[in-house]
Amino acid sequence: MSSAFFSPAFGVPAVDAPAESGPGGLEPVLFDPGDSGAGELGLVSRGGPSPEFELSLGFSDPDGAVDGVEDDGAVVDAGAFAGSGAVLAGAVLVGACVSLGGWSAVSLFAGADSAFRTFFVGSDPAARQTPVAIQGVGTFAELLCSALPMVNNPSEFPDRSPSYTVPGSRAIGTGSALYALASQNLPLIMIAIGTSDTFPLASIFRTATARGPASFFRGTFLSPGVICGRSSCAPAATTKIKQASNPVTTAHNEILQCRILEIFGSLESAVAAPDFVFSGEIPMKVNDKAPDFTLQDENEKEIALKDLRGKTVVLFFYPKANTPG
Amino acid sequence: MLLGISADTPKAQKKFKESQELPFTLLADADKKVAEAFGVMKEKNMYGKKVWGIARTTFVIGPDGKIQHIFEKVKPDGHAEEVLAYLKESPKGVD
Repeated sequence: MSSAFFSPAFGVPAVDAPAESGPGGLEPVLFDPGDSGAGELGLVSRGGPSPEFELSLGFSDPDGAVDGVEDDGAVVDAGAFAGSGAVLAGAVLVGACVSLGGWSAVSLFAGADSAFRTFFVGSDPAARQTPVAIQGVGTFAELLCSALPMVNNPSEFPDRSPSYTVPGSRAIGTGSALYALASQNLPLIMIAIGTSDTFPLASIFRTATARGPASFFRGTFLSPGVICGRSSCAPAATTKIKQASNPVTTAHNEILQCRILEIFGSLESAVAAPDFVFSGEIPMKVNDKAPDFTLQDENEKEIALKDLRGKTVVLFFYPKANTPG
Repeated sequence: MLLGISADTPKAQKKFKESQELPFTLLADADKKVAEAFGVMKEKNMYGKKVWGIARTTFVIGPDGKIQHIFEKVKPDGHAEEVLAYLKESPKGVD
């Protein structure tokens, strides 16, 4: 990666961050806005908008992105990052990332940079409405440890790519982009505090749902050496996430539920343990096997797709009555 | 076989079907499980507010149970013709 990839805001920490930093010997950064987090916040806040070329870097293969939802690849897609709480979350994220050295110089390039910037423009109403797509292709380990998280202009993102956020909540940053960040070396609490409320109040925690290709979540959260929300390349932290259950609906829609067992040590008593639901959802593609289902028709008669084998079925989804779309 | 699917209740769909005199079956996916399984849940903007709902999507599922064709971003108007045209061209035909 050429140094041109680093914005001025991240130049110093990016260069200083050891690319090969591994687990051990690194102290988890606890929440302390007065510490390095605030320092990095200052740096990032001064960053300003990214030049266009930065945003479009790494989007050289839009087709690959479409096909990237496979086991050996991951299209990571983040929802909107918005709300004033994002600034706080971002501050901690940046501080922890940089201080822990979990970000390699490579992975800190435009992707993370832009993701963070999105955090910090959270007060801008226009930005609030703009989903940020983070995209990385490679194995999960590459993605989390050394590959390039890419932030692209949403408009550039292929139509087929899912856009995932938390449905119907104020929560921000529950997209997989944050998981990717969190997986580096951060307690998953960073995801939980993605609300517009003030941290740290237990009341802000709520069940958050995030969606993304199952391969990403599977790779991230179910791989050896990975506890939910953390990657094996991350140093130990005080937050432990447990995969609580796996109520799989179909092979294409795996849902992992995670619960924070322990949060930040000293803050533990102040914070309720929230559940997270990670829902890996992959849009169907031609030649995929259609997920089977059994549903009631308008006469409450059960219709099962598998009973219709041998016939061509046209299945059209339409929005519920009196809803937009 | 033409199947419509939405998050409405069977009752609401019966009403809808009767009022519109729809010649096909409507399925009730109240908890949106099937919609999620097919990945048609999308975020939409409604008056600047984000809502999470079903995106109009049509799947043609072949006799082998595999997805044969997907119509995304379906517009209500003219879609039936579009699908019919596809099916006519499709060698497998439709029941």
